[in-house]
Amino acid sequence: MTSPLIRVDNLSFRYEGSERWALSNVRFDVNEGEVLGIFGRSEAGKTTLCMCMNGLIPHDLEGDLQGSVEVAGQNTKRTEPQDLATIVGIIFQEPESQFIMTAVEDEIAFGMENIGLPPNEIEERLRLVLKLTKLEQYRRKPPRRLSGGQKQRVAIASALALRPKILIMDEPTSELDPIGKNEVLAIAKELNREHNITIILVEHETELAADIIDRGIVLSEGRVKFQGTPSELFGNVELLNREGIFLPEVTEVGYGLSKHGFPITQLPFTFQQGSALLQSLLTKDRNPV
Amino acid sequence: MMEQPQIIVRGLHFRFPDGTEALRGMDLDIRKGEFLAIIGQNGCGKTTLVKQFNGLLRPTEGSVLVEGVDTKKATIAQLSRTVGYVFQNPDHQIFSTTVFDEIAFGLRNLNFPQTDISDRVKRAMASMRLEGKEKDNPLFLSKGERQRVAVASILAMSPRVLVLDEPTTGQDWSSIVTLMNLVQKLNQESEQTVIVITHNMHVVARWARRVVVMTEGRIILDASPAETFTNTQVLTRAFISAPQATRLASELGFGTGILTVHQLVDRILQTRSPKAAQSRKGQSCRRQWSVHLDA
Repeated sequence: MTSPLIRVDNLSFRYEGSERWALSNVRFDVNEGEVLGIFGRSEAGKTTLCMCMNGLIPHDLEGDLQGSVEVAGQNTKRTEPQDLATIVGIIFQEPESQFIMTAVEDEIAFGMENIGLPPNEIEERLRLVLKLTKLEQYRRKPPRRLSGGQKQRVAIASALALRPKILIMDEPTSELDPIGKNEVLAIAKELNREHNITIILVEHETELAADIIDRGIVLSEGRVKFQGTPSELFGNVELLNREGIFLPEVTEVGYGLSKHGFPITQLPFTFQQGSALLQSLLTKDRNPV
Repeated sequence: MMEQPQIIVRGLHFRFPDGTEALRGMDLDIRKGEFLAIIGQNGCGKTTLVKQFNGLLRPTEGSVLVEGVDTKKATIAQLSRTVGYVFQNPDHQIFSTTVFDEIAFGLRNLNFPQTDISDRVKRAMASMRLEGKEKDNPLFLSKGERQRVAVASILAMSPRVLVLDEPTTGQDWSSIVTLMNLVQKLNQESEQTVIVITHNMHVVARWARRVVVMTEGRIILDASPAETFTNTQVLTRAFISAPQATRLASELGFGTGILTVHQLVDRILQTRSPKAAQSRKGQSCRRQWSVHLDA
């Protein structure tokens, strides 16, 4: 078997000046081409974990880091951030806070110029990432004039231009309206399915995440409380409630019906699954127990 | 005769100095004690509209009356005693080093007497379940708690209208439930008018009693949540998708009126196993299982 693309091994981290461990003994692997969802309350350590995977921790944000994080075989503690930038891209909640240029094309080119790519290579990659994020027509527009979803796509394009194997998306949709949310998750799905980009997704809106993740982990006070497939995750209703995680409504419907004696062995977590389940329950001739 | 609406919007147009027309002719009445949600795409004018209520912005054309006062003739200080506006990001609003000072800030600004201030801070803290945190630095509170501090600092001034601008952004579900339940309690017990701008349709379905849908500076629908979520034409125009429970209900042909998972489950039980449903007549199925924190 090939080795995992990301290996987080017994990772603990405490911010400088803080008594509290933001992460404690976190351990998980991510294989190439997977979409991993990270769930948990605010302050559970999700963002800290993301920043450990792209090297922002401990390079830019200092503190006490124990254990290790390896991405594509590189230990993030011992690898320079600019070298990690071509392996791991990251986008945050507020895309605007990352923008510094006055045109979309310059914003996207900025990172490539920083790693010293020649102009023809920059142009070629620019065209490709504009196409991937469906931003061709906004190339010369100022990022500030775009909609929320388009801005977030500029952030994704900037990250993709460095050809990362991994894209970390830390609450990428929380500032966006419903269309913006769908735009961003559709791009994420396409990048994963068509271009084999490994994705780490932090998302409070589990109904959106449920459609795209291959695996999920739940963090609570810096510890991994759960890891497993989406059906294991959404099947564990008690855990989700305890950790303050929104239960997709289709899952809740399935759970409610099963409590009333309907024979449901597998709780649905996508709308299609929920719809199929109800259709079959309501057409079946058998009465619940 | 019915009491006059608390907020009366007539023929409202608003243009920003750069010429952008953000509101293009709106009429709206809001009555005391309502729980109203305003929904629609980013940039459709939701925030621009509510900022007219406390005078942060004033009509270019038309009028806004707040408890009978024309906002063009009142100061922000006067209006903010009636309409409290909680910003989208609590961190844009919080700047004191203790929770007490943060909540007292607005009161001091409005020259409330010292004895009254501590009393009001205490009450606002209790209503947002922040007791015992007077001396804490807001910076070290959780995101959900900081949000409640932001709301408490507005409530301390006893505004009769509370406006929450996207209170769910970046909050986890348990914090959303806590905040919305506290606001609902104020709404039910003291007729606090609540206006919430949100992209979260679960919040609309569970807490709002009236929904205003906006696109491009105009109101395209003003209806109950149940009517809103079954008006597919309006939902499509506003790029909104109804909660999963409502969508499942309409797929199953249950018609209108199902907004929550509990309602859907009850309805399925009636359809699927009439016997079981009848033996529990008069008793809600709701208490038989409890999934959500608010159940």
